[in-house]
Amino acid sequence: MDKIRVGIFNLSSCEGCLVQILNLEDILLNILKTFEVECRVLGTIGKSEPYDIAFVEGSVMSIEDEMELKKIRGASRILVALGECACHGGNFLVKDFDVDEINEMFPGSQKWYSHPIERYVRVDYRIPGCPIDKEEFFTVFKSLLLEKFPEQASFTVCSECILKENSCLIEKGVACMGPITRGGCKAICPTFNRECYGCRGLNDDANIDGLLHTFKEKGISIQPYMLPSKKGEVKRS
Amino acid sequence: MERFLTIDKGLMDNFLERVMEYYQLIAPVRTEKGVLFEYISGKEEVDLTYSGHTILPPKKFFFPPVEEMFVYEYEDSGNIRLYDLLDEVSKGKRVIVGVKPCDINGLLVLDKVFTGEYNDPYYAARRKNTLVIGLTCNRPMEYCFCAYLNTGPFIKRGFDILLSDLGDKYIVEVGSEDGWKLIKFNLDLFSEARRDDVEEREKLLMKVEEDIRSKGLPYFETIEGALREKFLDEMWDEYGKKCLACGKCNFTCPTCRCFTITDEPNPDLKSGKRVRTWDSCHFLSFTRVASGEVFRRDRPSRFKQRIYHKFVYSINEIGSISCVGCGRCVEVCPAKINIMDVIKEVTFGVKPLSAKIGED
Repeated sequence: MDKIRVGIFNLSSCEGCLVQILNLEDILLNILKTFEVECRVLGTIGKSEPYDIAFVEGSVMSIEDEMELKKIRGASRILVALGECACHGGNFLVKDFDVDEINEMFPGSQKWYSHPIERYVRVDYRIPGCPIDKEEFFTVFKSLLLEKFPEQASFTVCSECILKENSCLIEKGVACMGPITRGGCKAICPTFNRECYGCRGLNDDANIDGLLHTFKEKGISIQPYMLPSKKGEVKRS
Repeated sequence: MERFLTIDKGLMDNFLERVMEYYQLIAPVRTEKGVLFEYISGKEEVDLTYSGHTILPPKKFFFPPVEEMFVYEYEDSGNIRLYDLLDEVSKGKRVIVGVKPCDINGLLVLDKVFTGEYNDPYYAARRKNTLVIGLTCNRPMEYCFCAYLNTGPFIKRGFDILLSDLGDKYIVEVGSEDGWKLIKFNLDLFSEARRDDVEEREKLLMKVEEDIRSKGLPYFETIEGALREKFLDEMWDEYGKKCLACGKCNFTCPTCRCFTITDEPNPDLKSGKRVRTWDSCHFLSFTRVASGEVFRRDRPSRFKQRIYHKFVYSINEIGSISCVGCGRCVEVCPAKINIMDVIKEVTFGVKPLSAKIGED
């Protein structure tokens, strides 16, 4: 069998998702026993080598990022957006709410932006989350090696939370984004009593107005940066 | 088989301990999250005093949220070999104790689905190797409405043994041959029930039934007809706006049984397993077909599907409605949508009091 060429690239991000991939050390090497995978991690793409699968982590925050991204797209058959930054622009978007203060601290920062990579290139598959769920990555990776696209999770964090029989945080008066957030994280935050802050983006047909109504009825106040309309910039079909 | 015995509460522990020698015991356990059904390792964990219901119904032990069905393997010759995991399922005998009448009825509904026209061997095997010890209610909770659906507090079948709490002792009704065997070998712990005990239980359950019947719901026979007339009503849009489509109502329902099936390859990519997981009719992906088309795209139609399946379509499918009145869906709903309000609105035209979305 020909080698399957896999590249893992990195734009502007904390590289936490890449650490999650490294955390798969116990099982990831098993794939190499049967499949020949040639992997470039964190390499700049230099010459336009062809890749079967390219994972791109991070958002586009500069013209350099944009050029790099387009080069990767041109050289890859399948491009996967890896993590919240690549899928939705990431937590960097928080700066959009208090630009003045940030400008004072870091002059000239108004020219910074944080765009999901889908704004510049076609994306074949998304693995959301901050950081990604390593098992979800592994599932997707295995499927792609078999030339199959796994179905994008279309269930909520709530539905995974109730399977763990957790008590509801909204019920306790906490602004938890579980009902509108795409699941797949096994509800890790609510399981440890932290509210879901929506790092996996909006679920299909998320009812934002309904959740705001629920919060209002329960007297739960929310911060502007938590509003999903801002965060889930990318419209999905 | 109608046979009544009693057992002192102090001896219940001994009975469960003896049961645990031969069976894996599943029982309600009180945790900081609430009361849950769990496998028991020591008899002191068992809590038979709980009111209302556990967070997830006992269906999780018969139709698990994630279930591996079989393993596949590509041989070097190119053939595919399958290993059924059914044998694993059939191993070991279990006893589940403390199942409330609504949940027993939930299992009876699932029986009709999984062992009726289509036989599901995985469900059937689990059901076959598990004895059910029921427990009647002494105090209904805010959201209980079983009395309107004939699924409680009285129960006639579906249990091997039925316990009722009479203060210092349990009155024990034997419901099956298997249940009798369980008692027969431990007869030293039980005594024959007196007529007063049986009457006291009757009175207790009558009281519970009265309490529940103060909720002003219609009787279930009328719900189907009323729903059929309201299919195109605007009320569904209102509920669709409120519903967050999170799926918690489905997952906590003792009768919801929809699932999806996926193949999960192993790291060697030459073998893997087929897995069945719970699915919810509130998710957009639920009606997605191979072409990518989604049939129930708007939220009101998905909300409606749950109600109509329970009270209308189910009658054609299995001959009974698929709601047992446990009230779990009301309790877990983050948007506090109350299925009792829906039923009232459908049959009497009474709107719930809470504000509509957009009016506040």
